[in-house]
Amino acid sequence: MISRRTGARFRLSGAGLVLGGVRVLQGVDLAIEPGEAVALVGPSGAGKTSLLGLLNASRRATEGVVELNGVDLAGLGQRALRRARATVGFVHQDFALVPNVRVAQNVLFGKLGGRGFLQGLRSMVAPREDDLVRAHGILERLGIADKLYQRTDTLSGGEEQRVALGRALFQDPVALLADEPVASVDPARARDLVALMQELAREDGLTLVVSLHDLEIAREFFPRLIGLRGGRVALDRSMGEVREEEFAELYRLGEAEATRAEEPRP
Amino acid sequence: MSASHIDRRAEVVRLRAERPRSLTVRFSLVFFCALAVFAWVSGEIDAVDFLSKRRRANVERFLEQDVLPYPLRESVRTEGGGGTLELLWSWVAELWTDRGADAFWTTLWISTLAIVLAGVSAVILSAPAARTLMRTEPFARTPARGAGEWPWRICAEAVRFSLVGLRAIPEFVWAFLFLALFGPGAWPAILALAIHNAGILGRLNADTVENLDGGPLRALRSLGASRRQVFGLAILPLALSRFLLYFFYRFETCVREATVLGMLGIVSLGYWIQDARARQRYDEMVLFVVLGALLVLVADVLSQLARAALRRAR
Repeated sequence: MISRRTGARFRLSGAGLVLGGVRVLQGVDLAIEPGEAVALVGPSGAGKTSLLGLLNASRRATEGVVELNGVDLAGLGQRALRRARATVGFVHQDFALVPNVRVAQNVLFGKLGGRGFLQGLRSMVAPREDDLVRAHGILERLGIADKLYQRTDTLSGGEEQRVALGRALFQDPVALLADEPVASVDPARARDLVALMQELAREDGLTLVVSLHDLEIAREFFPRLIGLRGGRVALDRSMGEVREEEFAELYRLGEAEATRAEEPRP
Repeated sequence: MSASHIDRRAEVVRLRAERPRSLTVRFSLVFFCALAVFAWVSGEIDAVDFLSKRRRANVERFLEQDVLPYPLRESVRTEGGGGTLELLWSWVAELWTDRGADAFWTTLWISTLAIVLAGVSAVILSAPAARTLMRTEPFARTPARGAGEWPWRICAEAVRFSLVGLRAIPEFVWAFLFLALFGPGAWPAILALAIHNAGILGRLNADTVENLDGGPLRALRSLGASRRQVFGLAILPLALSRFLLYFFYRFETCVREATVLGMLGIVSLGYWIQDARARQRYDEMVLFVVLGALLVLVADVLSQLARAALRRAR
């Protein structure tokens, strides 16, 4: 498949995030170019999920600027915000599928971002044939085309993860984000999935940002590595230049947790 | 259209034809639609009858005359007009001090006592009624089978069955029975409400326990904790907010029901509603009905405050 469009460009400058009185991100300056594939690493609590949330516009930065394709996300109204979110596919760590509906339905949910309530209802009761055919095409690329009409909760973990990825692809996104996809399945399946995501992103020209803990996998599939520690960008360079010690340093136990400043509650 | 597209279309159609289908869902959908149609078509309900002339005249007289408070009606008749508000106020005040206040507080006490009795017994009964707890190995992922399971299962089902019994008899009927046994007073109403609501809350609480995430509970069992320890130290904290939600919901219902039970001769608001109706003093009746509604409002505010306070407590 030829890439039909260019991927998303993300720009963050001085971006920070305070959640429930706790500072989770601070002074993040990043530029991610269209079509780039980036591995996001760092210990638990370093702010990986929060950073992905900023990129997906599901979280608003408390300070600083987050831009998606040159548009400042902070200034968007409800409607524009929904449209921005619809262009960024997100594979959640726990897949976050609706378990008791069919796979086709979960994939079709991907297009809710661009549709009104009634259109959404229609896609549930009497889905358009074109949508179903497209969903089938996506599932075929993911290797689970025959599961189209199965109930989602009858699938295995690895299959469910692919459905979640299918839902993100059905959005017709310009960027694909995945939160620790490796942590949810066994190592063999994990490698397979990351390879698949990388291949899909390359074919469709999507910007790919994946958070993970595994340096091996990061090395193999991603040209660039961003390391977070204590809510700050501690490492940002091309994969070839990353040394083992630097990676280990990111995960070192110690004051990083303690330096996360607690802000006074309102 | 490309050949592959047509192939895919056919494939989708094939997969759809082979999709797993639930007979139960289909059957019940058809069944309930048919039932709804049947109820409308076959019943004795006549929509036109509701609007007959005599009924309409009744409603009009009720709204234009009977409902008007006594002093207002008098002032309309004598055309005096002056001091109507004061008269109205003293009419309300007199009714309140004479009967209203007493009945108002009695209604509140009856329902509070009843729901506390019901709530406590329901929490205790929810343990033996929870089928996931009543097993040789509680909260096991795949429940064991065999003869050893039977005593537990029989016990759980027996408790559940008695809970059904408690709530199958309406509070009104319980109160009727207890009035015959104990004679008039507040206790027949309290016991009736407590028993009926223990049946309802016991079942809701037991279902809550059954639906809890088994992980932490299995972990406690696997380190040797007893059933009672697991229930008191892990299940209670896990299920408490749900228990309280149901508790306060039933409290509100209890307040309403305590009013209704007055019609059996227990001196709550319902007694005076019944009394006013018998004397055809519809203005007084409406005042007591409004007091009853106010009481439900008070109960609602109380439960909101209590639950908000619990949420804040950390």
